[in-house]
Amino acid sequence: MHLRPPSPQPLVLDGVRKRYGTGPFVLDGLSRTVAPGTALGLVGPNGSGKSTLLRLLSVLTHPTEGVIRYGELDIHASPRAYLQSVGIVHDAADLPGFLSAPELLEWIARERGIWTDASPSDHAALLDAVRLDERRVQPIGTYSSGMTRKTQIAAAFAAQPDVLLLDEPFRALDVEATEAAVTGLATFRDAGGTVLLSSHRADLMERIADATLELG
Amino acid sequence: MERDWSIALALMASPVPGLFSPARRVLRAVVWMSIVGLLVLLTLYASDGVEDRADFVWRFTIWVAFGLGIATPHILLPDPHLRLLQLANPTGQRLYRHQLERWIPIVLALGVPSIVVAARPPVDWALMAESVGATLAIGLLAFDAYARVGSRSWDWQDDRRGGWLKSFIKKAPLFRLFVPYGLVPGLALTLWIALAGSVLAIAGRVSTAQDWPLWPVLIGAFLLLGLRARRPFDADFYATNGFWAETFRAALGTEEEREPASFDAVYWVPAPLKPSVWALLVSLDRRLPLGRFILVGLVVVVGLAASGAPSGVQAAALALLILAKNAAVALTASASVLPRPWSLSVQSAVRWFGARVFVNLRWTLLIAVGALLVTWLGDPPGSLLIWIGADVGVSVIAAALVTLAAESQVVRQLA
Repeated sequence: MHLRPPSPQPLVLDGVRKRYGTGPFVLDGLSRTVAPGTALGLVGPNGSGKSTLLRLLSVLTHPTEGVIRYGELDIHASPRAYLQSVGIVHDAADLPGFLSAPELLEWIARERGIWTDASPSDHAALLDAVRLDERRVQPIGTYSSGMTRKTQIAAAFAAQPDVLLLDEPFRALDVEATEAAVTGLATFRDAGGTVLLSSHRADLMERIADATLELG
Repeated sequence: MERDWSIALALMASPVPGLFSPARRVLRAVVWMSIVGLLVLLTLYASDGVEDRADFVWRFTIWVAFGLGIATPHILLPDPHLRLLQLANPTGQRLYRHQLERWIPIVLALGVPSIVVAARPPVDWALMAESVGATLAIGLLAFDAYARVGSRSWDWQDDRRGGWLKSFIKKAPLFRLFVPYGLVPGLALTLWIALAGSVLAIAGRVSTAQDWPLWPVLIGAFLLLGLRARRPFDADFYATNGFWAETFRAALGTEEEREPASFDAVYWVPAPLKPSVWALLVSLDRRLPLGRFILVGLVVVVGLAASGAPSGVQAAALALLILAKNAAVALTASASVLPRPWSLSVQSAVRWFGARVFVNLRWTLLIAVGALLVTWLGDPPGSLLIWIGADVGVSVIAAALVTLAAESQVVRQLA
């Protein structure tokens, strides 16, 4: 998979607490530093706060207390600067149904200002790597759930991130694509990227994560 | 396989390309044109016989200000393409433009009645320009204020602001709020937009009466908004969308103000439709306090009748209330209320149509009471029975249109 030479920063959670309204704290006093070149697996039962933590890290919600920094950057104060270094696979597949996967990747690259003459071949290689077959030229709205998941993963890599946030990335993937995704994530990590992922696939988590964060 | 990229590149001019098929774009245009056409017809009817057009326009503008003060976050937030936008990570300015592009058609539609009234012969160009300018200024003010409120909302929600109010309420629990503290900045904006809009409308009225131009005030307002639009927006965008997404998901963890409707409460619905009507009503109640909005609307309509407004205005207000009440059923076609594959697995399209009709009929009694008061206090055309019949008819038509739209999406998604 195409990887940007990383200019990585540590991702620092500093006393992060999160509750919804006046409800109980879902995350309570979470402090952790995720160094570049490492992968942190988020584990815990349903409702333990894995998705909440990933929502916090993807700036979709704010911490009730505490701060999350990417290097020196408060991610909630400067979300765009932070997101420029981040690729995300959300649990929900919110992709434009009337673009094909190559068109989606082109759009991402152009919007992020990372489009070059080499991008078409890079993107083709990326889609090959996640095992998205020739049906990739069809609109995403016609894809199966597995094909959509592959597109999400490819889109996260197409952002040329230093940090990857992945919420259940292996859901709906077939065996071959799962293997490709695991290999891709491990390669990304070894190249200096930071990975935070949640998955109920303990066997896959073991192969990717250097450490785990037990929640709940 | 060779691919023609020109279309894709053209689509990429939009901040979020590829969401709509060409057919869907045409449908959206048709819907917008229908709304504008309906507004034109209603206004023509309501303003027939109105002698003081400036008076009509400034009163309407004030209602627009009050309406936008309440409705703006419900229309604008959260952005349905939030996660997709993260992938592209556009600049704050593009995020601002993206949201503004969703908002402007609504504001322009709200300007239609003023244009229609001012365009009645003899055309009053000054009134037209000033009323449209005032409506646009109020719309942009509401947009900018709500689009940037997120950080303050989070601060109130998470106890970083508003300590004075919280300690006051602790001492005087009688004044406790019935909404989460995070909504306090939004409530303040509701009042601010209504107030600022009213001032602008009154300024327009005075300027027309005195032959003073309102342009300097409007230009000043637009310049101010232009300056605000240039401020960094990315943090505001994510903070605001995050906050309202949680608010509308009812995930704020506060106790529900009132019990959700029980299954027994739908005793008036035919047995086969009861489960789906009940589920839709419970979901809708959590998504939108429609009963309260209808009550506010009824107060306005009855107030117009009692204050001796022209009969056309009374009729148009009642008709708008009926349309708005039944249009709310469109929310039942959203994925957050009724995921599409789920809707298909539960029951047939015909049954969903029936369920939506009954969801709409839930507030018909309230409309009937309002119509009774209006016909008693005022002199709108048509009898009470005709107005009730109109509500039932619109209920059925709205349910049919929403079901048609929802089912076509299901078919497209699962084809």
